[in-house]
Order: sequence, then structure tokens, then C-alpha cells
Amino acid sequence: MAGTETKQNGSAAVVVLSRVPAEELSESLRAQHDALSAALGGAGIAFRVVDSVYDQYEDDADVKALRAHAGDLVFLGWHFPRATKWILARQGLEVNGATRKLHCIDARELKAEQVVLKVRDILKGAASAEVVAIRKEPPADGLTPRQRGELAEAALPNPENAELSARWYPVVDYDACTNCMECLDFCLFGVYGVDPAGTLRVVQQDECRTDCPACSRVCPVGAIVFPKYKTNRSIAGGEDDGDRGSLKLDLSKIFGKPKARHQAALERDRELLKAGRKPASAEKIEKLAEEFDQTDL
Amino acid sequence: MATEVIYFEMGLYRAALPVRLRYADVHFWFDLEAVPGRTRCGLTSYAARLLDDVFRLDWAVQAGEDLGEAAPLGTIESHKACSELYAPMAGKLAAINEDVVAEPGRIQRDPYVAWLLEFEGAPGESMDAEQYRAFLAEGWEETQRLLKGQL
Repeated sequence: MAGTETKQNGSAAVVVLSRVPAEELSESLRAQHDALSAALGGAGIAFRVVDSVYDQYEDDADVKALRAHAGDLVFLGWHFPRATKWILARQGLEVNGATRKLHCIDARELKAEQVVLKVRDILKGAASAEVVAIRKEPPADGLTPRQRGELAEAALPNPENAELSARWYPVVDYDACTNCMECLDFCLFGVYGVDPAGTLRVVQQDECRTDCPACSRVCPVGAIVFPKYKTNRSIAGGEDDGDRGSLKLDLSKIFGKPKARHQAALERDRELLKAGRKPASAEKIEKLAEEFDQTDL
Repeated sequence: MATEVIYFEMGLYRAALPVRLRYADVHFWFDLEAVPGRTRCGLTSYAARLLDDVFRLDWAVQAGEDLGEAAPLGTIESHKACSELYAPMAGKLAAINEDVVAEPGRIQRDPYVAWLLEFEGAPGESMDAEQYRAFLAEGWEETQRLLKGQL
């Protein structure tokens, strides 16, 4: 279903339009997708349509094709641009400007005609939609894991070569991550691990619990993104609350929102219970009791 | 319903607080008499006023689940605001009012009829209408700051 591609001459940019992830496909997003497709075509801009990159595995066709393309990318997706950037990184694309420019546009936020104007300006070199790092202060050693020479994060192959289905897992923003391992300590489902170079990795992405954003709340620098999370823009990779006029009032504090860490622990307990395990607080108490029993008094 | 009611003044709006109900600080009311052995609860008129026209109520919990105090319940969204909701009491969730899920606008129209959840048993702590009104008065300045700060 791919549209025609642009000329493959060195830095030629490819415009990529993502399909809307299946479980988010509302009438309005479907209409927006179709309008975008028509508007790009009408403006004579070549583009390629791909399935939701977040939901694909690293050996799926669209992901392979994107990885094989060496030039700039203009990616029109249905997540916040920062989420899109790090989804692509997870799928093995170079995203930090070393070999290509990556422009990410959130197709939910603009009218189709506005997107087309922006894409045209980007292709002319008159505009940019590159994702700027959110980090305000450098980490202790001044380097992010990526800058320490790490390559793109390795996604996993599709275990059963299954059909594309809705997935849920964290993507790490390595522009922000300080490799502090808070998330690895916190998650009790084994989602996080460390590679031989000592860098934090999402190693068992499909162990992640659907709709649970708890580890994102314990990250001290907001580097963990759940692109499909609905109720908190910054967890979904958007800008911090309070940044935009378009933002809805978040009344969660009034309705008893606990401090982030406490809330994360509650969410984790809920997922442990659902998985037939004991809440972490209970596990800890039992372990202490056991140790106490073993001490010879 | 001929019920005795006291009011909390929110600027031009008066939030009605029926005296026969109990209240939680997360702006839920408790009705201990609606169903024997259960606590029925919903959002207070104060909460309904802050949210305004609710159009989406998305529960992350199911009937039968054991919930701890302040457990995250799901999200509520109106045209001007959204919020996560937290359990007003600990206990087994006995029922969810699916009629209100289907038609969340009822929360705004009649907050004390449009109940949301029923729990087994009774809440550990709660306030009477006078105490809840005092609690609202105490937090009103800060609530207004929060509302303005976010706008």
C-alpha cells in the first residue's frame, strides 16, 4: 500500500504516514488519516504509508524498510513527537542527527492542510520538526547513554510472527535517561535490564502490563515514555503540564492524586494482584518476617 | 427527594450537600442506607461543578476487585477538565453503575442520584456534611489557585 517514494539521492527525505494504531482508530482519527493522505497526494508530495511502528516487531516489513532508508525522514504519526522519535530509535533507526535528520509531526494536533504546508517547508529546508531534547541539565558525567557511544536500542524479534496487534511497553528517551536504574529497581515484571555496556534497556517489553505507566512516574528525569497513555501528557511524551493553553485542566490533585512515587507503587500493586502475585508491600513484609523467624533469638 | 441540605458557596455557584450523606476528602459522597451491607458512592456537587459537563468516565477497575484506600480507579473527562479518580474507601468493589458510564452527563445534572460505585461494607473514615463543608472552605483558596495556575 506504499505510495511512491521520493528519489533516493543521498539526503532525499522520505515522508512517512503511519496508520492509526488499531485500538485508537476512532472515526475522527480515521477521517484525519484519510484527509492527510488525500491532502499529501493533492499537493503532489510522495509519501509512504506504514503500519503503527510502535505495534510492530523489529523484523516486520515496514520497520525493516524504514531502517534500510538512509536519508532524512519526515514521520507523520499519532503520538507526541518525542514518543515517535524514541519508538523509531527502539526499532533500530538512527534518530539523533548523526547520519540523518528525523522530523516527527503529531498528526492529531494539526489540520491536514497545515500538516501539508509544514511537510512542504521541511522538504524545502525552510522548517524543522526535529525533536528537541527535554533535558535541561546535563547528567553528572555530562553524557547521556547514547552519547557514551551507545547505538540504537535493540527491539525484539516477533516471537510467534503474530499478526500486528495492540502493544504496550515503555520507550526510553536516551536524550534524557541518566542510567540511574530507578525504573529497573521499581519494575517487578522484568521489563528492564542492562546490556553488556551497562546501559539500561527495555529487555522484555511484552512483560509490561497494559495501561500501567508506573515506572514512568518514578523516573527522576521523565525519560520513560508510554506513547499510548491517555491521562497525562508528559507520560505520553508530550510537553509538561502547564505548558500549553490547549491543555485541559487536570483536577487529579483535587481528587486525591497521591505523590508520584506513591501512585506508582499503587499502580504496581494493582498489576501484581491482577497477575496473581502479592502486592510488593506485602512481599516485602513477608520477606522481613521470614528473616526475623530465621534469626535465633 | 425532600432532604435537608446545606450549601458551600463556590463563587456564584452553591454546592448542595445533603445532610443525610457522609463524605470523603476525595469529593465522593457515601450513602450507607441505599443497599444493606454496602456503601454506595458518587461525586459531590462540588466535584461535579469543578468538572462541569462530564462526557467520559473510564473505569480501570471491575466489580469484585479488592481495592485499597486511594487506589487509582480510572479517569473522568469533561470538556474543560480531566482527572484521575481514587478510591474513597478501602474494600471490595461490589458494583459499578453502568448507566452513568453510558451517560456520564448525569453526574453534572444530578450528582446525588447518579451514583458511581458500591463497595462492600462501610468506610473507615468519613465526614458529615458540616465537616465536609468546613473541609471545602479550608481548601477553597488553594483550589482556586490551582484552577487559575493551570489556566
